[in-house]
Amino acid sequence: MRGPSSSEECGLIELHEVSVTYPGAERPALDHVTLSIVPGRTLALLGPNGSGKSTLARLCNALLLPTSGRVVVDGMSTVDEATLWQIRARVGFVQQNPENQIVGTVVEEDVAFGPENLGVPAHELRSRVDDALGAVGLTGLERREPHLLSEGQKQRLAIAGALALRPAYLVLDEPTAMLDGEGRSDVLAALRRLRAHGVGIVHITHHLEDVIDADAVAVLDEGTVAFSGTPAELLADPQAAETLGVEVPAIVVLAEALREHGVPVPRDAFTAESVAEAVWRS
Amino acid sequence: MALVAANLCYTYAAGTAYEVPALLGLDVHLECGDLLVIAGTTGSGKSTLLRLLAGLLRPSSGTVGLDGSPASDRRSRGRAAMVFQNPESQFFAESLLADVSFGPRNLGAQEPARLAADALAAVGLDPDTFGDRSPFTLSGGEARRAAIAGALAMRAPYLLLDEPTAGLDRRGRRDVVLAIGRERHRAGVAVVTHDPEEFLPSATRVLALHAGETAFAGSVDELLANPSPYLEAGLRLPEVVMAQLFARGRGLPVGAMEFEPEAAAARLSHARGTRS
Ligand SMILES: Nc1ncnc2c1ncn2[C@@H]1O[C@H](COP(=O)(O)OP(=O)(O)OP(=O)(O)O)[C@@H](O)[C@H]1O
Ligand SMILES: Nc1ncnc2c1ncn2[C@@H]1O[C@H](COP(=O)(O)OP(=O)(O)OP(=O)(O)O)[C@@H](O)[C@H]1O
Ligand SMILES: [Mg+2]
Ligand SMILES: [Mg+2]
Repeated sequence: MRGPSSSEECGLIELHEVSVTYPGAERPALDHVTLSIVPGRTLALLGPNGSGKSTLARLCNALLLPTSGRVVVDGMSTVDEATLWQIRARVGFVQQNPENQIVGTVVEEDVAFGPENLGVPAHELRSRVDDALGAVGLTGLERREPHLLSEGQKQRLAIAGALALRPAYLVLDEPTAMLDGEGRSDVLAALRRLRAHGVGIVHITHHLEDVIDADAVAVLDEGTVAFSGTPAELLADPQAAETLGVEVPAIVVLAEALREHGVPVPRDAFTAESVAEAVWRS
Repeated sequence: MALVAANLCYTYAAGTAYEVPALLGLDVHLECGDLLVIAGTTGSGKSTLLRLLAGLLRPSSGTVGLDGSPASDRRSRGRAAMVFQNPESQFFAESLLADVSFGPRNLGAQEPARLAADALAAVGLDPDTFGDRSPFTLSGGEARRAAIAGALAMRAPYLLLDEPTAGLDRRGRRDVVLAIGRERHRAGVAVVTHDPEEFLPSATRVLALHAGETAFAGSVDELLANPSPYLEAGLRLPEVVMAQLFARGRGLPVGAMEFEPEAAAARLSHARGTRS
């Protein structure tokens, strides 16, 4: 029987008191973590190396099951084998190492693999694949073998595969780690569009500037949630943020230093363009 | 003594219907004390270049000379240590200590285990905690650190690193930047990076690739004096520098560029006071 909270559990991913201890490990990788992932919102997940971010990510689509506690996706528990495939269809996942999720022999087959398995009809498949490849800037490489791509191209391919699934939730484990200026902004723009269309997003990163417009931020430290709030709240105390291992973006440091020089730079100026604009206008 | 590439070209699957011309005539010069920063958008040929410099690929045309011998020659073995962009592809041993000490042991070093432990410590992996761990169960950032440790332990005269700070936390990035600073006293270092903030301030040379060709080659001062070719190759300079460039574009007399936010703020507020 479901408890009274079942209605709340619909329409979100809930992690409740989740712990994970890997076989042979001395300490848990996640230790009583509770948080939720909400449709149409982006949760940024930060934290030092080894703090448990990827472990948390793997829990969301039942790639990993908690040692204790529970993970519930739209009312379905990830330990329930009967709903496993429904969960996998709802929750897209871009792994930290894109190599781990390449399945097709050529790029377009790789992207088509997920939706095809979900029974998407052939005529729709084509447009889904083309849209996804276009969104990540891989158009033109449809017939290339995935293992012959550069690492950044592989990372984009993994993202395209997740986009083509059109999932309700999307968990991305450091999706821009291998991407340069343009590639990075392509991916960030695609994520903003998805959020606007109601997709619930978990964005794992070491770069706060990539998630400055996230709706919520959680910072993990040794498997526990050390901070939970908004990006602005995290930046309100730069020293506390750095104690949590979060690098305060250099542009934020510049804006603060300019304010100390008496230049009125708005608190929401997070880009080089907007800071320069503020200096010019003042 | 130097690692020198001249008119270097490389084509994957040459002569087939699937050939990919990846590098189209590059020149590189690297010697002890150098920090060469290699930048370029996805697929521009950075990793291909590094593999050629390490002697793992043979040039389609042009040459790579390592202290006078071809880089792919037997004599050059172990003289250029490389860290791959995907660290997981580099591991093979059952324990981290065995993995990291393999290089120095294989090259006949005196105390391979001590070199390995020192290298692990240098990248923030405590040898007592991590030495016995399987390299295949590490977190992403731990794996990258371990791969870097494997190259450091070889104490090779040339060090070639492909995205050494990708996926590292604040502490890890600082550890790696410091370790590379130390290595430069005895080695020439080339770094492929999307993270110009970490390496540009101390770079001796910058090479920006665009579709396999040189978009920019020169010193950091030259780059800052004339950033257009670099920016037009789809690359970004550190945000603090970009802010100064945008301010200059707006007509503010910014002068020389600063990397440090505080110094940049001083310059920008001064420029704002002196404009006519
Ligand atoms: N299969 C495993 N067996 C034992 N320990 C593991 C295993 N997988 C991960 N760990 C450990 O669990 C901890 C959390 O790992 P996780 O991959 O979740 O970290 P992360 O926050 O994603 O780190 P990174 O930023 O480096 O990617 C790490 O200390 C890691 O070494
Ligand atoms: N084994 C291969 N066979 C065929 N083409 C390849 C192979 N490896 C790389 N390529 C192609 O060669 C070009 C250069 O690849 P390279 O890996 O050097 O790029 P890169 O600059 O390192 O990119 P990234 O920033 O994404 O790592 C790309 O177009 C890539 O698709
Ligand atoms: Mg991780
Ligand atoms: Mg590469």
